[in-house]
Amino acid sequence: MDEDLKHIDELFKQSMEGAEITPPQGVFEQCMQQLDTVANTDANLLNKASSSVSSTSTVKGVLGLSWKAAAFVIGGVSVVVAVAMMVISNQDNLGIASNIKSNVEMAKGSQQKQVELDVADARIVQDNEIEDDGNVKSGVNNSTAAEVLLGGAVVERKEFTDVSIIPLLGKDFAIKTKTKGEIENSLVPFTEQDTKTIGKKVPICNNHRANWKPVIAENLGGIVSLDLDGKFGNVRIDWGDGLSPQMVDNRLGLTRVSHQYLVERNQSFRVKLINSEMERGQDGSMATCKDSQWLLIQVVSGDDVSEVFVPDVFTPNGDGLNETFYVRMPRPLFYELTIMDNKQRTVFRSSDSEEAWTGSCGSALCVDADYRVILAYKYSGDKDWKYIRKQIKLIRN
Amino acid sequence: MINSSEPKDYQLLRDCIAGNRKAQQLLYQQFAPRIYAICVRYMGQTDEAKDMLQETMVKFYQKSSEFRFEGSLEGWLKRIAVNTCLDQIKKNKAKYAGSIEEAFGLEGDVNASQPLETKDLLKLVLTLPDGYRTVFNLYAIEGFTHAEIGEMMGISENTSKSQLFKARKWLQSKLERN
Repeated sequence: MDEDLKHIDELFKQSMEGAEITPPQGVFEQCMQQLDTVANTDANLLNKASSSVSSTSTVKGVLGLSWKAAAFVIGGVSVVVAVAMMVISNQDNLGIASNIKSNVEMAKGSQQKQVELDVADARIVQDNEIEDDGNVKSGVNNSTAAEVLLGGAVVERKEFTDVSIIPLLGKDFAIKTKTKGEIENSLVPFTEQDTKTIGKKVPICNNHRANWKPVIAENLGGIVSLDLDGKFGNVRIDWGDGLSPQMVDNRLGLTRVSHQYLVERNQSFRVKLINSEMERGQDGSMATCKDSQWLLIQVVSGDDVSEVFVPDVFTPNGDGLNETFYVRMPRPLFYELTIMDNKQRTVFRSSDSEEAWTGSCGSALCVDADYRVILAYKYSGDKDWKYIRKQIKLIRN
Repeated sequence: MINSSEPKDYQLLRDCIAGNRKAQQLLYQQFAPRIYAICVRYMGQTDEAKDMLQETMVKFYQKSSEFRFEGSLEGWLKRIAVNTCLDQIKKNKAKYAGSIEEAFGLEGDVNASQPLETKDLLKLVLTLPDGYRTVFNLYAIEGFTHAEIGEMMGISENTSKSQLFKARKWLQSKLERN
């Protein structure tokens, strides 16, 4: 009987697949507005970060996550330090509604899985440590399961190789995990009846919004020092190098905390910082608030990245020096270079890694200015495209 | 050198990832009508459908750098759209539990003397009660299995099957009347 009605599916499928309806006006603009809100937040934090790191280039930018790389010399060995900032300060009007993935797969080759949360109306998705209120355990790094407890009983248990549960501060929160058979690049949240609202509200400190500024400094002998500058209350810092978290009781009003890493080649450290202090709430009473930030500090041997060099400046002025712009790299399998002016117009594009830009914009000469370089490349054996984005300067005089 | 067999959307997407607004707009123009049609198919021609379109596109722009450059970009976008709508449907269900049998409609009636066009069929789909419609959309048009639908919607496989059956019945009766 059911079979008899299959033709109905066909009728509708043929008609609906690829059907188009002109959307209402203004949606694109609203999208852009929404994205700008996020981008500005990112940019502010990045600016703060980059002021302390020399010769930076953005390597990758995902929502709430950006990479910075800085090259400098440690004891005669060229080393690149990449800082990934977990930004995650969504504006109130962000309205991404149901789900934001806090992507913890930022470290290259990391085996981490993620647990996703319902962040409808949430303002900030924060760190993966939760103070011991008996409700949530997070199995970070050394556990194969995450458990969600409700009233002392385990209501949810998920087996993963490495799990971070990311609670929402400032909101009651629910934990949703991806179920098995998950659909790629999409989210299949639990149904309402599966969602357990657990946890308790912890207000977010108004003062900081997780904007401690990382300062990475070179030292001799493979020692890299990391300073975090900003305002702190009492702070708990896991520097990510296996040592016990450092607790700082900040009655002295420190504005900097520092740590030194002994770096061997290609190491990364995940820094987790939880700030907690007393703040006057809206009702006038003093209450504890929290604030936190993640940093991924990646120290990469210079040897591993020396294959790609994107110059900062070039001077097509006819003096025979530095006349053209090109990327120095071994010839990749796929290569795509785009150069745009500050109005986002493409002035040069090439898919040949040996083709150089002479500084012409169409038939005219490009003016002295900053240009944006977007390089995408892939070597054989690379699974993903790699991206380098950089501002370069064209100077004739 | 760019692989010549690569879909041409990919280049647009790469520009989009690089933050090129023109590319973002082109992608929008290319896909929005289809995505909007999906949203309407799930949400009715309501403000909600427009919101779902916006949310889908924002998610898409934000996640575009996660695209693996394998397979169809459009397919990926549709997936995001369907999931976004499903999330909303679930939220609505929680919010208005009990009153979900109301049906949406496109403006105007189906003209019985004309051959059935997409618009007419869409109107019929929108007359389906919520639960039927979602399952019908997922199964008949998106091509998910009952097991997948069960998981996506948090219902049993059998519920999915019976909803589909009812949806087909409903549609058939409407079609016969034409």
